[in-house]
Amino acid sequence: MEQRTEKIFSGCRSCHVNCGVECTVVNGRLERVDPTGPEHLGVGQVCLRGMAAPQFAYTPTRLRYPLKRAGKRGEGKWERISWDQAVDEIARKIHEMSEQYGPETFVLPGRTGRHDMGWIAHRIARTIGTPNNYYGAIQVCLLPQFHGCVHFGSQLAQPTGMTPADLRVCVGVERAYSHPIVSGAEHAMQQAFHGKWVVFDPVAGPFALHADVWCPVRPGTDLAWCMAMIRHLVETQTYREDFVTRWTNAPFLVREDNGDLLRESDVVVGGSPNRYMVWNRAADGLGWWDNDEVQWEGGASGRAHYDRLVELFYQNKTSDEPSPAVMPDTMRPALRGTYTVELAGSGYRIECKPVLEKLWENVEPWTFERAAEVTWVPEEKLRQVAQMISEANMIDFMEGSEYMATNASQYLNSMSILKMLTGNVDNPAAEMDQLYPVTPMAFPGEFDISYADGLPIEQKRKRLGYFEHRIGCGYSWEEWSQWQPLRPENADGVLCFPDVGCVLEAAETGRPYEVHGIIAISSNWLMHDPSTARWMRLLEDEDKIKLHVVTDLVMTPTAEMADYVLPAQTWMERNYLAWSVAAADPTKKFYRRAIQPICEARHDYEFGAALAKRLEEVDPRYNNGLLNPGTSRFYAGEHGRFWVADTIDEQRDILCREYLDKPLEECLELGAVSPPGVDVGPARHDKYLISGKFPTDTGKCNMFSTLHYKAGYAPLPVYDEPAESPVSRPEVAEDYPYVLATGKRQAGFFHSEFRQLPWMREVNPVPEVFMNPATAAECGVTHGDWVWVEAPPSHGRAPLNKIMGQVSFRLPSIPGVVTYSQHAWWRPEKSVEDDLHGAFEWNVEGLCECVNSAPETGTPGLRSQLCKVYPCTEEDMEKYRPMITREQMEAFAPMTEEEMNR
Amino acid sequence: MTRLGFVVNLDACCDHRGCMTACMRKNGSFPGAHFIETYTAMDTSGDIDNPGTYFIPIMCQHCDRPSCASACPHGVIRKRDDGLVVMGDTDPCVGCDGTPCLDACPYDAIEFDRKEHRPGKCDGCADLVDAGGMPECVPNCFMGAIAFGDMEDEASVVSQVVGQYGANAYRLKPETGNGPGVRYLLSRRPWRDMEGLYSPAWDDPQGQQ
Repeated sequence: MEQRTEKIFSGCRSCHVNCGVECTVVNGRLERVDPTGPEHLGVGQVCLRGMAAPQFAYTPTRLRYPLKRAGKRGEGKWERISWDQAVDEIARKIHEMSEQYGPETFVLPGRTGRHDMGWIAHRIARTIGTPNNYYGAIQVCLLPQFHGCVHFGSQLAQPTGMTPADLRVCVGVERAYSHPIVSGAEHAMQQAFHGKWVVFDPVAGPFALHADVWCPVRPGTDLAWCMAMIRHLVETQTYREDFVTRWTNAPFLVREDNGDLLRESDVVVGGSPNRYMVWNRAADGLGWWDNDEVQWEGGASGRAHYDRLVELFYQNKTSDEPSPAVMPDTMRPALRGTYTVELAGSGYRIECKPVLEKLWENVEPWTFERAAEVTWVPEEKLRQVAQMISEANMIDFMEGSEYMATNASQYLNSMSILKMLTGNVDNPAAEMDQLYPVTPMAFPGEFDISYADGLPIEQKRKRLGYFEHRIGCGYSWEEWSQWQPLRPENADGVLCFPDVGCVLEAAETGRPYEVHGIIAISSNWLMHDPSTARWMRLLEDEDKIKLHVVTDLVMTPTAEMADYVLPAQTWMERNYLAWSVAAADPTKKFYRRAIQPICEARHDYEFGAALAKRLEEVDPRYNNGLLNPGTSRFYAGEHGRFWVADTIDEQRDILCREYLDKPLEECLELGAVSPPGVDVGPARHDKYLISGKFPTDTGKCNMFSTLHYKAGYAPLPVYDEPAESPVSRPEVAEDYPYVLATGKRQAGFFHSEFRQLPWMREVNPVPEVFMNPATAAECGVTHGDWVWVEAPPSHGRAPLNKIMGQVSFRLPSIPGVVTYSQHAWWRPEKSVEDDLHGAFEWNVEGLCECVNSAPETGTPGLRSQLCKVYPCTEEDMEKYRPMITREQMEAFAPMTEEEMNR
Repeated sequence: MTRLGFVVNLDACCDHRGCMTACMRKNGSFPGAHFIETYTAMDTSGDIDNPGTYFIPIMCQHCDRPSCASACPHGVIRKRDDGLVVMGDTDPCVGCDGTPCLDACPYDAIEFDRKEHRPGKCDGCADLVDAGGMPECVPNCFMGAIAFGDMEDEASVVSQVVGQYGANAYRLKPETGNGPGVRYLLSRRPWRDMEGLYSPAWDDPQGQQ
């Protein structure tokens, strides 16, 4: 046979980085994945995941055909069915259950949205009519990025480390393992800019070992050192006074009687509620900032300039002309002090303090000494870091995984405040990709085309967690989405997700309503969501979970517990129109599929479209309705069809023709296409100087979080000890004395993925349990020993509250903390009969409870709970045989064409 | 005279293990074989103020006087004129009595497939080098920490960088007299040679019994 070799440029989507790659395809089979240069959207390298991609395409664990359960859930008995039959039966069940329980009975778990899965799952949820899409992963993953919306009106870009900052403050980030290519680039940037580097992490991995300062921190307490840093900046007056005064609400007066910001309408009969009052030292009296007029008292109005920008925005144009709304010399707002003002009407005299003064009251007790005591970081290190923060010009704050604590929202508030105090907002170290109305958005973002915001308001308010978690689950989104029409490009980057704890409780108790259906779009959720035992009890009870549908690439433990399993396509088998994770890049990037889909694997879009079509036969409303409410930039308020095409490429072709003026095929050929006639935007930084304000309700960066205030939470950070810690639960800590951290990573793996690829598994065969030698000695174990890590059985964790792991002294670790090296471990080398492919042996999610969570966002304390450690017995070792055998490893060899089609 | 060798910058190595996967892909090495393996030089003192931990990729050291070659009764291992130590046809190894090459290597750099009774090791990607290229680990290090070139050529990057590092350029176990051809650069931590090395990678434990 003649050999036909093709070189196809595509984009690796084994993680979020989306490196451009060259795929070598021989006779239709993918042989190699190699790096490309920038001309093909690559960075000149690919990491382990890219190299091993051909092993993934043909792994014998791939799902190849639609399957229907033929035994009990988890028995591994399946009947092969056609796509038509699967879609038909699923649609009928969805309709039947919706009629009986309401569409909100369906919940869609979270996932990593890197294969245009996010918006497709949202659109499926929209089609069904449920507001319950994307719980779990979102609350502990993407949250830091879009939590910033409450402060800045738009999210700051994900800190990449690849900025010209002279100081990087990394919190619980281990990019060497999570994103190796980015890690390499970061080091290059650091060297180029001679940047200093501080790492807060309980374990010193490659990041901390290369840092200038490693602060070994007790997990879940990062908020405490943030408070101390804020205190230091305020006390020494080393914050950027100019930025803080002009561009944040730090000078705004806070009423001591009710805690709200003081408005003109409070002190002047007929005054404006959108005029925020300050104490003007130049006049020794009240002054104002008017958000509607974009104007300081005594200064020029920026309103006309701003209105012009809005006009331009809707024409996809922009301007780089600075706003005239500058603060006049006659305005010198006070940042500190207490002032007495007289209320309009009643004439009552009340005391008011500037936001910064209120902030000082909160942080004043947080001396280095106290922060050291709480965080376990030596006091002198905290002082050293504070000095570095005071002195640095540009700081890249990389908040990583350690916010996965029950004080997550207040921690993120304090991080935002550190950015404001140091002036690192919309600068090269903290880019703000979208700043309405300066940055045009010429191509609809993922969230727009998901139509997720198009549900009727009363249906949206049924979102599980809506009333419990007012920042994360939809309330603050309702407020925020009135501020500006620009939606985050990432469909999942929005403050309107259901809460995992509330979803679990509803499924268990039927309160506030019954949850009976789970539709998992490319999500191995049973492995990556907390409280495995509670989920298993639900899945094993067919009266509780009546329908569980999973689309995925491989047969996962989650899929084994499904009723229908549908085969999805890897990145190698699908074309791709890139949506960036955080930015609104006017240039769209296109990547071509390398190989044809294997067997009957289909794109998730095709499943959604087919499902909608079938549902539509029952009731036309399933595929037609309000697309998005009136505040959105795209499709605002229109009624229309949700699924306008049967296939993803037809859908993309429609978008490309409409917004890029080119068919999809031409875009694929070109690789990168800019929308015609669109301004790519002015300078990437200091865009607020053009608009004259930030796109928030106050027009300023909300140091005082107005949304937290409205929702009843502390508007300025208050320290809250993690819900399950040696300090908060000393009685539990008697038996479970160590803090369990779960946020590390192992090189190559991506969450629950790639355990079955020989080139990656050989590099990391088992989970490491990082401990300080002294802590290990207390447990009677040492390096290399296999141990049980056990969490308290409470909060529904038993009986899956203990897992095995191998003690490792490889990386230095703070005493008293036990760090599990990677979450979501399962053992695909084992059979389904063997506990769903070893799903419970090493999966640290089983040790995590989610009853306690951050009030604001529902974030459980995944990185800061309690555990104990004790050695495995010989019987344990015999029973579980932790080390993968050669026979098992060889069974992971890629399928041949013949094996695949057998 | 050409003397090809590696220089590995341990100040940069971040334990990404891209070199390991790239090597497995290039060589199609048998399961459990790591012709290059990133070890961690562990600091087990528990000192978190000044941890001495660093990462060190170890491959065949391409010795001046390779003890494996002289130990091989079948002439399978050979030192090339350019300095690379390569392994030829391993068919004779199947009938070899014991594993003399493994026993002779002071660096544990030779891997052994007990199922097939064949050894394998890094050959510096001699085929790529002969075609004018670089060993596969070099471009696949995301830190650019691995360099390869002619140590005898004073103008080469490898000899210049070794010169720059001076006393902070090390060889593994110089006392063996093998004259290893790999230099390790380390200035951020005290050099501990092969003491306390650990790698979590899989080495087919059943095969080792």
